[in-house]
Amino acid sequence: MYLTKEEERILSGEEGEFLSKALRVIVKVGEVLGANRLVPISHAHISGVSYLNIGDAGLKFIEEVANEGLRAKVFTTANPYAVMDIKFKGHHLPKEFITKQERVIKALIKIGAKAFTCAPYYVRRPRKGEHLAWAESNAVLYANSVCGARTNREGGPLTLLASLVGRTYFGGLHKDELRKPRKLIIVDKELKGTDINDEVSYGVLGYLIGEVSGTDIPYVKGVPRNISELSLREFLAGVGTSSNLGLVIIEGISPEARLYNDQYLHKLERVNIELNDIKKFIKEHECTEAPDLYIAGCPHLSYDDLMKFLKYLSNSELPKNVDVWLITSDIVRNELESNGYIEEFRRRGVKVITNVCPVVSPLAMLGVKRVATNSAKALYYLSRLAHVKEVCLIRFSEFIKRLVTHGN
Amino acid sequence: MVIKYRVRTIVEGDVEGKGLVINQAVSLLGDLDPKNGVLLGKYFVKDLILFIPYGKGSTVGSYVIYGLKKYSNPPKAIVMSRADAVTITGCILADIPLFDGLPIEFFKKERMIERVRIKDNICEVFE
Repeated sequence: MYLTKEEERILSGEEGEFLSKALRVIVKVGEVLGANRLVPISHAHISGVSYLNIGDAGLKFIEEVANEGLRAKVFTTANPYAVMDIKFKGHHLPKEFITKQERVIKALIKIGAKAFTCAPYYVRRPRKGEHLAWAESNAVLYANSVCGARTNREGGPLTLLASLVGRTYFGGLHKDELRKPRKLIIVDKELKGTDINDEVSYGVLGYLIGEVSGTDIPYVKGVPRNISELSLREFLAGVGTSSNLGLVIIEGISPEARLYNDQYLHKLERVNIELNDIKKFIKEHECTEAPDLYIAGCPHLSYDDLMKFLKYLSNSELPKNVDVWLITSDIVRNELESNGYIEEFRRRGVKVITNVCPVVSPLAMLGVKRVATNSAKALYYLSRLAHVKEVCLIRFSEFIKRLVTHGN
Repeated sequence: MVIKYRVRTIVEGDVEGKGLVINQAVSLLGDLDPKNGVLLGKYFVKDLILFIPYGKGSTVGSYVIYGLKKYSNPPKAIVMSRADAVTITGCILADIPLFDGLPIEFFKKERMIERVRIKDNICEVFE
């Protein structure tokens, strides 16, 4: 691999043994994946933050980095952590778990993490063509597919190391030639104008597209330009759940879509997604029984989403036996707080929770048995990672409507 | 019988010892318990040369390999058909020699191997 003088200097250990090792990891991974040089990055986004996932080994590693005195060289954000101090019907998590999760957070803040969210694009929106080292699949897909920035779908430790050296390997989705679509996906008619135009349907559509695309970057026709931000996020999170993709080119939305004309697209393998496929999936995961908990915010909600949700809640007060968690980042919550809206949610019995991810939280330990959500991604992971027994899908507006009309 | 394979060295090291061949992709997070050094609930990996076809699943897996070292349960080396970013990252951080390039047929049968020697991109298997 070609290295600049400064990179050679870091590799030779002039800035310490740990940084040399950090750069060696990036160089080696790059070499195996066919990169021939490194590229400076403007933003690192670190995954592997929940103590439930990384365990003592991850905690030790992150603390070692912090205690070595190493700090992020570029703007750095991190994924959300596991819920800690939240009570659920009187249950709370063991003290040891909370203490260790707090140690991970403290070390990451010391290193330079500026926010804990899975939607770092609301903290600092990447520009077109910018090089990043991001982990977290939905964020990677958003950065590449919506912003036109460049990042691979990196692993947790690699992004942490990239933040310390301010570089990553120039390979994969950093390169023009590896960003070309290889499959054409046609959504049978514009979803807009049908009854399939909500965040649940788009999450499922994304999930199905990820499944049929495999490792081929898809070019998607049929997603309306004016899709809501909430639905777009759920769509990309769905793609990331069922595939290893880091980029999907959406006609009318992705900056790169205009590079490909019909002549090019007609040469690609073509797959149709029928509305019935979406309906069938939703039907299979319909909520039939009342849940203990409703979760929205996988990925984290934006300010506008929360304002829209507040409208759906109107003046209703929710039944006491169901918890509603709306998840976002501190940045968004503080904005709501200063405009007086957090109080509005509180008054209606709805919790706005920040910086956490329920999917990577030990919800089973909290006694949560049945969860309803509007996220296809959360549907998948809540049962697998958080060990929740039953998970079902229902859009937020519909859930509130049911609660208010029928009680629970 | 000795069979020689050409491998690619990703993390350097000359190693020799007993081998363990796993016949399926391994999700480091979930399949490998770093604290006790137990793989798939039944194999102790400490001091073995571990043959895994390829990795799968969570990117948190790098921390699991790092954990093996921290809990003093590291294998002598890991040899794969195709190395992935998660395993490479873990092996460099933990200083565990890593090689890849073995044909996938090698991993057909789960088994112990009496003696393995790896040096200068050559992996010698005595079985």
